[in-house]
Amino acid sequence: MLAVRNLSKHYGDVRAVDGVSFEIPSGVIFGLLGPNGAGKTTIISMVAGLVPPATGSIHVDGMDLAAEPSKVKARLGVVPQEIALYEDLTARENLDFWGGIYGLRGKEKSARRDELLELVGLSDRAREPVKQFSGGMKRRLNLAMGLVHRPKLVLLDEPTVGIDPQARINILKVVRDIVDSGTTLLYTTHYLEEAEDLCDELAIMDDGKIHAQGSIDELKSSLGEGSVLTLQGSFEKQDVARVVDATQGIELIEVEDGLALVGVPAGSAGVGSTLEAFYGSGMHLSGVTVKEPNLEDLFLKLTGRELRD
Amino acid sequence: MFVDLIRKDLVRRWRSPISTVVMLIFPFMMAGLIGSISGGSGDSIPLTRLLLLDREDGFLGGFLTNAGAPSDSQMQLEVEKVGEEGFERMEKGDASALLVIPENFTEDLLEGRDVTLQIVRNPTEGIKPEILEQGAHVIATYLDVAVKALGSELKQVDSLFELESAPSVMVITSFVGEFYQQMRKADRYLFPPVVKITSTKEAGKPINVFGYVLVMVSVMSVLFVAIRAVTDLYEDKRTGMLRRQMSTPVSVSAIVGAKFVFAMVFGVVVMVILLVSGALFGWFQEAVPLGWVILHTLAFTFAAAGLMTVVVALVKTEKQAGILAWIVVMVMSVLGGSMFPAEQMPASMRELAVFTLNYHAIEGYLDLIARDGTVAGVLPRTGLLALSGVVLSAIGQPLMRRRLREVV
Repeated sequence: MLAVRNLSKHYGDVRAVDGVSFEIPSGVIFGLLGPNGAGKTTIISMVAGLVPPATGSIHVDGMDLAAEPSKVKARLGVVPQEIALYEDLTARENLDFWGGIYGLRGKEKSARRDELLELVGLSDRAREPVKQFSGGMKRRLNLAMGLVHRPKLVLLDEPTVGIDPQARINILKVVRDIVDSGTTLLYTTHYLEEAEDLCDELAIMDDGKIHAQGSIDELKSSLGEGSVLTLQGSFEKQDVARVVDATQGIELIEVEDGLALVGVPAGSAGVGSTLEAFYGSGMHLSGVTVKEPNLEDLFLKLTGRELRD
Repeated sequence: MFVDLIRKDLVRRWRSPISTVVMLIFPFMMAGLIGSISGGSGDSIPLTRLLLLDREDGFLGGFLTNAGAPSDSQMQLEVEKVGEEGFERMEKGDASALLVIPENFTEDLLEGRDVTLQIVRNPTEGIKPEILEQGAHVIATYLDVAVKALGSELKQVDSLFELESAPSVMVITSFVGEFYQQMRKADRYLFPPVVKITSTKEAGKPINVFGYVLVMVSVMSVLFVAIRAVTDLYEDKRTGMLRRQMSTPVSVSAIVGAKFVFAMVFGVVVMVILLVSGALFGWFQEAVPLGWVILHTLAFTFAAAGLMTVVVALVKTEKQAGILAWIVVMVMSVLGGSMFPAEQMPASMRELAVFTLNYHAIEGYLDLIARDGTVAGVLPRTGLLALSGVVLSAIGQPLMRRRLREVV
């Protein structure tokens, strides 16, 4: 459905997007996971035809965006990060306006409007001006407006930013309903749980580049079978490094004074032996946590920093 | 799609009508305010009486007396020379204001010393004393500029009077030559041919003051409406609606074009409401060439939308656009007759008036609905407005498209 090849964009000396390529098959939720400033919104803007790429190509449903922008845009539904609604119009009027923009007329437009109001749970508030809505309701309407013309590909740019947990649950439910109808989604987020829970495939981004991509299982398995140890205590970086070097198969994921993440892959020394090695080195450990590796660990391993940075 | 864009804006205006209502009420308030000082009948434009206490009996007093001589002007100024009893008459409310010209005014002026004109306002009147005070400021400015521009020549004049014998032909010729050169540079500003109030109105039935002021201010209102409509594009940018629209198959040209048409349509609606209301109040003559009034309105709103598109496209933000457009409208309104009848202005200002949309719009409307003007007579004004609209939109729309592509 979407093929992005070698996409780049720079603003002055800043490379917002740097040689990004990925493909999204039909009916899949593809996530772009990364912190703010990773380049996710710039990719969405380029795919939406708002910002021309410096290099690279974008094909939607086999059509080149650069060659046939209108046809491509007619197949896209864009849900921007900011809530973009006419606040003095009602929910119905907002949806009617966007329906008209996409060429819907008469009963078709009314039927689609009512269908979407039902989908996002706003049927009973449809005749109220949007300015009277809560933040969560506006988010849901914002989402519905990108779906009014039954797009084949929906670009969702951080649709759950700045809303309370209950509103987030509602939004994610709507997103799942959209996918169930066979629509393809490009979904950006910096919430790890959301990406893990929602996306079929994921690209991990930082500094304008994709550092890894694949299904959630593929990405997790790239850390290997095994466990991740989180060590807390009063120790120096070099103390940890010395133990890791001396212990078979384990690897250092991240370390700073007083905190270390150590990967213990299957076939290595094992959790018990690794802990013995650390305790035996004379390091003072005040806490130890053992867990399965997750995307946070992968992000940390790939970029050297935490996703919330 | 195009119709949806325009309809959306019209519905939004309907939903949030406050700014529109203000634009509709403002002309009526001004018409009521100005008209009421004519006694409330609106049958003639008011007489403003100025008492002049000329302690010098010099050129300024003579000039003002001449300016206030009876004429067939629509908006008259009557100047009456008085003695020291003028202060008592002011207390009785005999006039709108008393202007006091001090002793040795001309001599002090020529010597470059500070001089002061005193104006005593009638506290029971609101607008007319204000007009007179502003008029005094204008006179003071002219005199100040004259002294600065002709400082050396004025000293020569002074020295000529100091001579014991008559000056030689050479001296006079030299002085006259220099004076003439200076005057040629400054004559537009220093010697407006009509500081004296004149009127282009031929004898006949007077123009209804309410209708006159309504037209003047309505034209300004339509310009403000056009600002509001076109700056919507920057509001859409701020709220993210513009990005959203540009991610659809709708082209930037259609977005800008729709806003332009909306500015026109909304301007026509506002103007029609104002003119129809004025007609219902009986402020215009009975036989109005309706078709031509509509055509004139279309031409004016076309030009207004074009001008505001150019002005708004020159800046990058909603705030900058609002400020710049406001300045442009206010300057055009002052010069073009929306705040003071153009025919009452000094000639130098009247020369500038013809470069404003207000002037041609107002004059066209007045000819059509208040002065028994012929359609043929209004044709050049309507044509000029339409031509301005063509030129301004040809400049403004590409500029705006470029600006929007930059800002998204």
